[in-house]
Amino acid sequence: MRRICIIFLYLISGYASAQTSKPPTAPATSSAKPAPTIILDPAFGTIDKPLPIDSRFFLEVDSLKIDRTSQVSVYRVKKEDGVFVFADLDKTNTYPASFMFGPKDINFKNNKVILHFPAIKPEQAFDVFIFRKFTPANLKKVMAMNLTLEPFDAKGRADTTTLKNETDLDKQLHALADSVNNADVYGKSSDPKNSRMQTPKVFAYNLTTFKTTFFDPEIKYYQLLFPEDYPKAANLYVGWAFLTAAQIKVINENCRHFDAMYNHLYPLQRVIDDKTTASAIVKGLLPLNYNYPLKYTKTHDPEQRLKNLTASAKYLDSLQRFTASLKERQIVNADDVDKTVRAMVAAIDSNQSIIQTQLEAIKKDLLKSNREALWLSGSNTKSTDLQTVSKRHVTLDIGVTDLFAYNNQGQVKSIPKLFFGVNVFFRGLDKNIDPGDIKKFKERDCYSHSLETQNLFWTRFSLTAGVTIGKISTPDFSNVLGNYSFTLGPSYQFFHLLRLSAGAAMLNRVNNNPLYANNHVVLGSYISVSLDQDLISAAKSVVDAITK
Amino acid sequence: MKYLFYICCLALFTGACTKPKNLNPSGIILGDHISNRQPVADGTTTLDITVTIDAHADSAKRSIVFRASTGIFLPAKDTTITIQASYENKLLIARTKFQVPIISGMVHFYFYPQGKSSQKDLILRDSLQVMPSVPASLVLTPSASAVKMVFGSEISLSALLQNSLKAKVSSGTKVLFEDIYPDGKPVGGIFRATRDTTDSTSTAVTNYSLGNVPAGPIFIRCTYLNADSRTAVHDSCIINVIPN
Repeated sequence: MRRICIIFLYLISGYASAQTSKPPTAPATSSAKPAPTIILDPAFGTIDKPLPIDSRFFLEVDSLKIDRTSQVSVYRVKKEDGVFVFADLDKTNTYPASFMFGPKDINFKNNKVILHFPAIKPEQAFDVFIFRKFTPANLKKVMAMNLTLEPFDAKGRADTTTLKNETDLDKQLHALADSVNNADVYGKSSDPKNSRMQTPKVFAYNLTTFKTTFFDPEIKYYQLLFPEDYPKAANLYVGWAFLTAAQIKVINENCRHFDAMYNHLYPLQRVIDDKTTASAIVKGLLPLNYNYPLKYTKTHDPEQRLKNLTASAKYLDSLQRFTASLKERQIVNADDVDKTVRAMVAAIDSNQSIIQTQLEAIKKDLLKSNREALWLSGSNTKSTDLQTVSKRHVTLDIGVTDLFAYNNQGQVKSIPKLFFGVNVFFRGLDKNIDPGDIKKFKERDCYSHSLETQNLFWTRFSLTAGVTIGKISTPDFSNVLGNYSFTLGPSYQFFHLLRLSAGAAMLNRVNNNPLYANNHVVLGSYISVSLDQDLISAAKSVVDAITK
Repeated sequence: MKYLFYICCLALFTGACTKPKNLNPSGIILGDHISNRQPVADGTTTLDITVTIDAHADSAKRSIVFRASTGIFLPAKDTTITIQASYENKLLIARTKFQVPIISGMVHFYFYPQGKSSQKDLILRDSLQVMPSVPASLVLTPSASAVKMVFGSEISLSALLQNSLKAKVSSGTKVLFEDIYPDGKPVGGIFRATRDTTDSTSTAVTNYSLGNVPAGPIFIRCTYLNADSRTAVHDSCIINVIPN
């Protein structure tokens, strides 16, 4: 017994030294316990040390434009038939995040993004998805692409084919994908054979929605989010009644060769009765100016169209001043001509106003939805998922146990013993964590919370196999093997320090039949209390101290 | 989940204890056999006694203790002997010999395993009625053929009794010593230190002397008494009375 006490004291001292020799952890934050900091290399999605289990930790990501990061989502990933799939994927093909960091949850420090993760269960794989604002350059590209979409309004519903045929648009989209992602690492999206990025797919949901989606979980992808509530352009611009030939003739007959207006009439004369051209002018697709042929602007960019309308307005303004002078001179039919020109000017003004309003709405909406998304880690050949790895499933502890068994007189006898216990857990375990450190994120229905350690039962529950030490002096009983008897039963940790177990014990009962040998193994019961500490680490530190 | 844990603990805790079964003594020592159940108490007759035990007994646990209230087991020559059982016709049998006592009466036997058990009363009991060894002959032998008158000398007399098989008679067989003249009248001598019942040597003894009587031959007779009644089994010797 004295030897056992000495061993026990050694183990306790070893445990104490193991506790004091723990490596320093991350700098303390507002929480009570310091949590370790894991540094993630965003280029390859790799981390500098294993992720802890059942313990909060900080994920520090360098090289991210901190002013652009606005939201971080974490998705659980699992492997099915060798393929990584998002475990949280539901039937509607949506991806509810396990949990999400909002702007208030993201810590920016020393030009780094620091995410304070909740405690995560062992053997979990997950990817981190970061939403961030577009770079100014990319924002311009997105803006341009959205503006390009405007003409499809006039066609009613645009279908996918129509959009796919827009090669310019497709090129812009690929260029944007390469810009958002690191094309050197993942290959160019415009080169599907060599790219690990999925080719952007374009869907036109309606006239005003443009969205790219990339939902191949095996490939790192990005997502461009265009405003779904893209402002609906007026599909009926204010049209006009163009000047008739007779009206042109009135103007022509009353201007002299030296009048500036004489030359101005030439473009007008060329577009008489050309309804298509007239319609294009009033919508700003063609500028009505002093040049002919009119330069058709291929772009449907509203800004360009505004310029066209401004040019047309300037031209018509001078024409209107001229027709007003004809009216003052009481030229026959001048009144009718002047009225038509005024109507044309008014239509141009109205359409300018419509396009201007639409342009402002687009800009406002894009700024509001200005974000691109990036996987920090993902299931591809280049970077692996972030994974928590379980450390240990077995622990060793020491304590006292009381065996109960019927003696040969049918009375229950109590046999107190010292014992060593081997606790087998049904999940990974880190004995150094503080159970009080496991705090849930705020429950939100939109998150699955599938990664978080939410239930401490399996961290406390184990199956305990015990070995009692020392001779049994109780009559009728003896040890099963030498000085050892055995116990087996479930156990549960209480108060972070004690482990309580109860179950079946195996010991020898002297055979009551004098004709048979004494060794008769019987089952009894036991209840035990042990010091639930990491004696394996303690023993290791003792061995290290002796051997060094 | 906690409740599941509690249930598991409780089930294991309460269900694991196995209560020992009460031993059935008749399943340990199955029976005994005595070769002769009506022996005579001659102190020499031997009986074969066997005890059959559970055939599955461990080899190291087959020792059976034989104990008798009287008589002796051979070769130990004691009332108690321990015998290792061995297989005979697939039965585990402990075998020994028992020499009947010389005293008639009940002999009680106790057979039990040598191994310890906290359960008592694992003893197989048996008993035997040993019949008396009845004298069929009697030989009286004096230590001298003459004795001096007026207590001048003393002789010793020994009566040896034998049954019909010339074996000893049961201890305690009573005899009567008497002295008579040739004409049948009593002499009136003194018998001293008389043991008128037989001992384990099947003899009765006495010392004899006499007072002032006339010289001449006298008879000393020893008769076997059955329930204080004289029997025909007797013997006599002639002793000469000589002057002092």
